[in-house]
Amino acid sequence: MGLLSMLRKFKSAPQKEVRMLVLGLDNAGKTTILKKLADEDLKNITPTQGFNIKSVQSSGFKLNMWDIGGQRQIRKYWHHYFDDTDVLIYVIDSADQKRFEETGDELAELLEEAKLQGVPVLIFANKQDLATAAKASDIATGLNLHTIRDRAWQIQPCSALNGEGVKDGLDWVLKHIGKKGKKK
Amino acid sequence: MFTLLQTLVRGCRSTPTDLTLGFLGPGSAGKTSIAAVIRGEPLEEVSETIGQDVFHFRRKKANITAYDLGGGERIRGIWERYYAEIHAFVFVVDASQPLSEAREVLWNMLKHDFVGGKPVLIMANKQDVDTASSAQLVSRELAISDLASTHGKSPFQLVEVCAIHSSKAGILKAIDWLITTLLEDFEGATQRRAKEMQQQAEVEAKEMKEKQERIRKRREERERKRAL
Ligand SMILES: Nc1nc2c(ncn2[C@@H]2O[C@H](COP(=O)(O)OP(=O)(O)OP(=O)(O)O)[C@@H](O)[C@H]2O)c(=O)[nH]1
Ligand SMILES: Nc1nc2c(ncn2[C@@H]2O[C@H](COP(=O)(O)OP(=O)(O)OP(=O)(O)O)[C@@H](O)[C@H]2O)c(=O)[nH]1
Ligand SMILES: [Mg+2]
Ligand SMILES: [Mg+2]
Repeated sequence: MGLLSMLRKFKSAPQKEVRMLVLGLDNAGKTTILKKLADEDLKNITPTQGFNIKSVQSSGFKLNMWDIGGQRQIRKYWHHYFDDTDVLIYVIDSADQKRFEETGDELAELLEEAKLQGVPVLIFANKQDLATAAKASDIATGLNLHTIRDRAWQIQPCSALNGEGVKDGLDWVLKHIGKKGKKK
Repeated sequence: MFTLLQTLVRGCRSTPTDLTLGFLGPGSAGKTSIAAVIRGEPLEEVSETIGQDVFHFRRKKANITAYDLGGGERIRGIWERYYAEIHAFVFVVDASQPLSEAREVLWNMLKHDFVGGKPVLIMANKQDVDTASSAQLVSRELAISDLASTHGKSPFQLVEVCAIHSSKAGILKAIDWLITTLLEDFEGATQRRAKEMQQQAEVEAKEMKEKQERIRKRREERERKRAL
């Protein structure tokens, strides 16, 4: 099923607004990915100091994507945005292997948040145009994804610059909306 | 980690009716499609799993948690992290394709200490395709008779299925064999699982500690550089 038919399917669903929280370290490419999804110009993107909201509207279905700055001193404000999150999108710079463990550490903290319990997680392994592609299973163990057992998670390789994989990630998100894992 | 620990605690407390199954097998064998049949979801264009999906259903008074893991070459490495928690395996193969890869993947899996001896239900999927091998052929291609005598002597069963045409009832009926086999010695299976999960948790905790240490060192180094 294509993206459009998927969106159409959701037209009849009572929940028409979806809140997607987009997090990740600084320079991962969060803002670039969202601009790409919104078909906007990718020039002049600067580090996000606060947050951006991008809404993609289609077939009466509204995806509200919250893009929060990832710089170290801003990360402590992430928790202000956790409420009512339907999907967590976590972006990593696949070319920056030196920071895999740091980003994994931030993600692990997020996953402990009560407000994010059971929320499906999509990892955008971004900058594939640069990356000497790390194996998905290495990304998974590097980021401790294999310890997430109570919900769906998926690694989506992509490049925000050339657009590859970005829509596929959104497809996955749409399939997993409303499938929060079991609360224990 | 927190989540794994939670799972571990839950695992130790499990009552005789909590079972965990793993849907494994090579990439595009049809695991997610078969899971969709069980979940009663429409079989729409499924996409490659590069991670994990988890779903729950009840069967024979058992509460079943099922992991549907990615089977492609680049993600298969995560399987071994799940072996300890899994009571029994559904191994799906694409019977319409050559089975040499499937054989290798299956044998490798069974070699693992946390797998050998646990029941394995093999689903020879895609029987709607003209070129699909029969159960008998698949069994020969996978060299199952050899497996049954090595690697911890896992009990095996092989069934022909088709995610596109098989009914939910049909698929569940095949899974019943797995549940029945498990329940024959559930006490033993539970003890084994608790022990393996404990071992796995220790490995994970050790790794986590080392990781934390590396992160801390790197942070200190960065701050030292900044101070200079
Ligand atoms: N080569 C390459 N560069 C990318 C890609 N995506 C983003 N970039 C570049 O990475 C840099 C950071 O991108 P941003 O989108 O600002 O990153 P961010 O995650 O929003 O960063 P913060 O707002 O600081 O948290 C920019 O120079 C982008 O052009 C990609 O897929 N490939
Ligand atoms: N003809 C036919 N196609 C099938 C059948 N089952 C699955 N498929 C197709 O095979 C492809 C792969 O199916 P998936 O269910 O995604 O396979 P998977 O085992 O989950 O694959 P990974 O997620 O990559 O590990 C899809 O295009 C399915 O539509 C079947 O019984 N018959
Ligand atoms: Mg940004
Ligand atoms: Mg799959």
